[in-house]
Amino acid sequence: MINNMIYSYKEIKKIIVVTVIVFMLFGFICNTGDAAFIQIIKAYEMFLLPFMGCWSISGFVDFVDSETREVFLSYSRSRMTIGLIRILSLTLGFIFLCTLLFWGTFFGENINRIYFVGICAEIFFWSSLGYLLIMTLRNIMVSISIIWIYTAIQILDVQHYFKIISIYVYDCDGVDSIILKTVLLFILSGLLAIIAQKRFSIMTIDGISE
Amino acid sequence: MIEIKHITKSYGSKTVLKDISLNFNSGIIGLLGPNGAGKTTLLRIMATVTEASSGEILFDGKSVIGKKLREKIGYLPQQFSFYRDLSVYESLEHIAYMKEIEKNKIHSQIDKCLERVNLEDRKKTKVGTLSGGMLRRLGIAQALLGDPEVILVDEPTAGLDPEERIRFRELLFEMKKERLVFISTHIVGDIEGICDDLVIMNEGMVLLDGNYKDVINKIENRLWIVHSKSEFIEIDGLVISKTKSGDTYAYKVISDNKPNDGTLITPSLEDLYIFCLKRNVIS
Repeated sequence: MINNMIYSYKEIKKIIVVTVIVFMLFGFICNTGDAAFIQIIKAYEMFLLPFMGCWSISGFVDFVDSETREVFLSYSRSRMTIGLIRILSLTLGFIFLCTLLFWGTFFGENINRIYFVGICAEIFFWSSLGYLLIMTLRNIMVSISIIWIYTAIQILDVQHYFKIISIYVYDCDGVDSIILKTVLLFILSGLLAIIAQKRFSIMTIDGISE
Repeated sequence: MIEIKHITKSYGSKTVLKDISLNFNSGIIGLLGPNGAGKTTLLRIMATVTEASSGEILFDGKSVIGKKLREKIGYLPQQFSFYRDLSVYESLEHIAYMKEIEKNKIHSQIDKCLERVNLEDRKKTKVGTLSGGMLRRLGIAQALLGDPEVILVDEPTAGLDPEERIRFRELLFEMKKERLVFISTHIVGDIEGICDDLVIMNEGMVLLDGNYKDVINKIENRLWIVHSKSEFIEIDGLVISKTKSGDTYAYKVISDNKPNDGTLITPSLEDLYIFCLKRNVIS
């Protein structure tokens, strides 16, 4: 099974390499810079975590690529197994990288640990959203664009017009607010993942434009 | 063994398969028809990559759908490729996992399949560097993995050179010993002489089906060649082809009665195919 995960992920190595480079860059900035804690959290959330969505979108390239989708859809391995393994392994891999990044930087204080749990909830959210986007749109570029358009809107929204749809924890007021958002994000992620999995389970070649 | 029962497929108001019912037991089944006849859609339904609007597929009398059907089928679509960065062996390992082949059987099955398709010496070659013919053979190897009861092959020789085409035909012919093989094509030469049963399709309908020899017999003693200097002839029968040699035209005619100056000739699959299509157009 591990071999097969590696084989699947060989296909998305470019996006993984880009993310790791961004991770290293952020790690370097965090450990050497003197930016305020909340600024760094904000930067992580806006520029780093959306890559999780890109990972989960790219993780299903074989089921949407015009040259491989038809044969992959004909294989007997259950879609539930494929979906669960890919999404969970990618998400846990991303959380592992985040943990490495945060290690030694933020884990000293309790509030930071709460922020970290919030960030994990965000990672799950991006992962499920990416999964749902690719299963709905079946187009990698469009799905990835939606993720970055959302991010760009949030970055440019200095007047907080779109705060209602903000998933970020950096702008929460107090611990209770962070916890509430975290719980909501976990619930929302679960729902998105269930819908995505249902779509994947009944996915056929119809409706995919050539 | 496999029964296709009243399969219909529509996309909106367009019906691409119209109440198809077929029944096969063994050997090679040639699905012959022009582009847009519905052959690929029929194979896709059998391979479960698309759903029929109505109808069902029975295996040994029992209705089979989804995963259960996938386990019985090996499918090579017209467009086949795999991860370009993986080697041939790694690709098949990955596919073996996707086909849920038992762990202790994976390596022996891969070796067997590679031997069948003559790719043993390409185990470590990257998929991205394979020629078109080798890629098709890898496609057959992946379809054979898991030892499925039925193999579905869509337009198997598309893009292959004549030598590869012959080799591929031989490979498909060998496969029929152990299983049912469906070959969909619009090229008569791909299936002539190797298929046991034949289905001629056009516009989502089956025009003719049955044992290869039986269906060819339908125009046995009815196919004539008539030579004439005239560009147009009036004849009691259906002209299926006209060729010009010098100042003489040779007309192939299907007729129950001998035309004037007609000579009886042995029909080929191509003659039967053209006859079916022309008759369909006329009707």
